[in-house]
Amino acid sequence: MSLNDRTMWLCSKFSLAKPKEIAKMAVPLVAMIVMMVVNGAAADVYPEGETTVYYPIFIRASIVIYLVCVVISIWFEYFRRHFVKWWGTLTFIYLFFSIYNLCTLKSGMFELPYFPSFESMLAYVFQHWDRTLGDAWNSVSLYLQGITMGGILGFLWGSAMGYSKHANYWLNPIIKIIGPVPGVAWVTISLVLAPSNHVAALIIIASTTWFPLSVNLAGGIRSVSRASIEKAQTLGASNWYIIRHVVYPAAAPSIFTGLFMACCFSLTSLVTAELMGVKGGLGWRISWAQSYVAYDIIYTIAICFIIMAFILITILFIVQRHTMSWSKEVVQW
Amino acid sequence: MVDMDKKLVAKGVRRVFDDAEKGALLALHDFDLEAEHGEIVALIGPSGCGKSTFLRLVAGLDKAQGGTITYGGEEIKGPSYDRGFVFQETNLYPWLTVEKNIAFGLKARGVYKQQKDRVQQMIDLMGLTGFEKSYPHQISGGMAARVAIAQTFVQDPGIILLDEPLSALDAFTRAIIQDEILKMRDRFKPIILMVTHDIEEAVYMADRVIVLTPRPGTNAGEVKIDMPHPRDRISPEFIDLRHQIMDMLEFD
Ligand SMILES: Nc1ncnc2c1ncn2[C@@H]1O[C@H](COP(=O)(O)OP(=O)(O)OP(=O)(O)O)[C@@H](O)[C@H]1O
Ligand SMILES: [Mg+2]
Repeated sequence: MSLNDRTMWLCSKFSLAKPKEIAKMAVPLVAMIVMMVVNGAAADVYPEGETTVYYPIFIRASIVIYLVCVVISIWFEYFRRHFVKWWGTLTFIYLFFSIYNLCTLKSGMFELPYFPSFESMLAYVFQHWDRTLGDAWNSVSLYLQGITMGGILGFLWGSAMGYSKHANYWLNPIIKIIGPVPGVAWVTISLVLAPSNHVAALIIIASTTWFPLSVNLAGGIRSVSRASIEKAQTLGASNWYIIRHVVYPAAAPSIFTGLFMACCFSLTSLVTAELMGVKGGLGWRISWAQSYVAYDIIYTIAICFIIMAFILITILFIVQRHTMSWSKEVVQW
Repeated sequence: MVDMDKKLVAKGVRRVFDDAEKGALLALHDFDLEAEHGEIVALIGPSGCGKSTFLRLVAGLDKAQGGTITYGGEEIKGPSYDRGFVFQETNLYPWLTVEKNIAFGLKARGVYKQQKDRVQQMIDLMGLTGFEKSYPHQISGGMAARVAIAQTFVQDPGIILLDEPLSALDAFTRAIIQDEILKMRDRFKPIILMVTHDIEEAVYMADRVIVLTPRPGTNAGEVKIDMPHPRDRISPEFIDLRHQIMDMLEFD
């Protein structure tokens, strides 16, 4: 690289934010400051004797983290590109917090116990952070075990169905009959039949992963064009090489569609299994909280669950974007 | 390096397709062909007369029901990198860059490390320099055709089968790529069988033009083209040869 190239390269990584981008980044910050002012100005009235402790901490922490991100964004182009586009969503979320805060803690317009204040939800997370992390970890590990099992099974199953007419003859009816049955329907049966609730939950999650993955994979493999395989043959590729370097790459879009569906279906199965029998995890915590009519815990756990699902699916899409950078037609997230 | 004395010999080739509805369909019948290294043989005939079918048989992608096809005395049993095929559709692998598409065969055969330089050489020769890292959806149709041709030539096969690789291109690009193929022929001296619908293309490039009858396809005649390259497309001799072939294609 010549000196000139190097400067060009650096400039492409480090460029100052444009005024329009700075304006966009300022909007959520304004929303956060509004949130802080509103919270400070209005008194806590509902329920009587409630004092805010964690909510102001939350706002200040948000502002600090956000400011750090803004400072990074002003110079780092790559970070900025991904950061600035969230301005609308963040503004909306923080305004929503403010309004919700006004409707609950500040006025009692929304009644307890159905609408717990944001303060009480934060209090739960802060006071029982070890318990919450433990619950989340239980869910995540159960989920990962389940989709790994279902993923491996689905991969082998779908490959067999895609490659072999004989395998397809025997495997296809099974998938047609069992596949579309929602995980929920298996819960009771598998809880009774499986040696432990943990195994039962794994079976349910794995089955909802296995189904969409194998159907999509088999379809993807079958639709690989004959011509692209024949071309590889005339270029001297062995069958095994063709499978690895032509068939699976060509089926990659279908595989990702299958994985996406599998991840979504399996999340439902996870919650169902946890709500109905598995001891531990976020879903179990919800049914536990239900018996105490602790809506604040239920809401908190629901939010944790949303965050967890969001992270999982985002990881999947980042992987997809990297492996499928060659394609224009990928599902965007 | 390829053995220059090897010949491609097809005798009495016959291919019948079994169609559930229409019954047996005789595509190619009693077809003969001989070709030597360094030679370009063009196959011309009405649509559906079995030209692609014959190329597939030579490539080893399909089996004949009668007759023999040998290369260097050995019967063709299955596909091999020694018989490269450039298909009617370019069929590049969309997940591979131009460079990796060209290197595909070398990598598949495990000789990429030794023959790495050939890839860049081929890229330069085909005018693809600067597009090494582009993906197929980022390049033009003419470039895609060049990549498809390079993909095959980089392997230095004994026989190269071209099934209308240029038919989708505009006349200008086509003329350029025709010259590039001639350049490659001079360099590597393979046996080139080229199917085309374009009589001008056949006369411009080929040493011999073999005309096929309508289905079931068989030899209708042959025209030798003894003009030095580069050929002048509007010389009286050129035009005369075009007429000669056109006359042979009037069946009824
Ligand atoms: N796999 C197949 N199954 C059944 N029939 C086939 C098959 N492949 C080719 N045919 C038939 O064989 C005949 C010859 O086909 P082929 O593709 O060789 O023709 P062609 O000379 O290449 O025609 P074109 O110039 O249109 O490309 C056609 O009638 C076609 O319908
Ligand atoms: Mg054809």
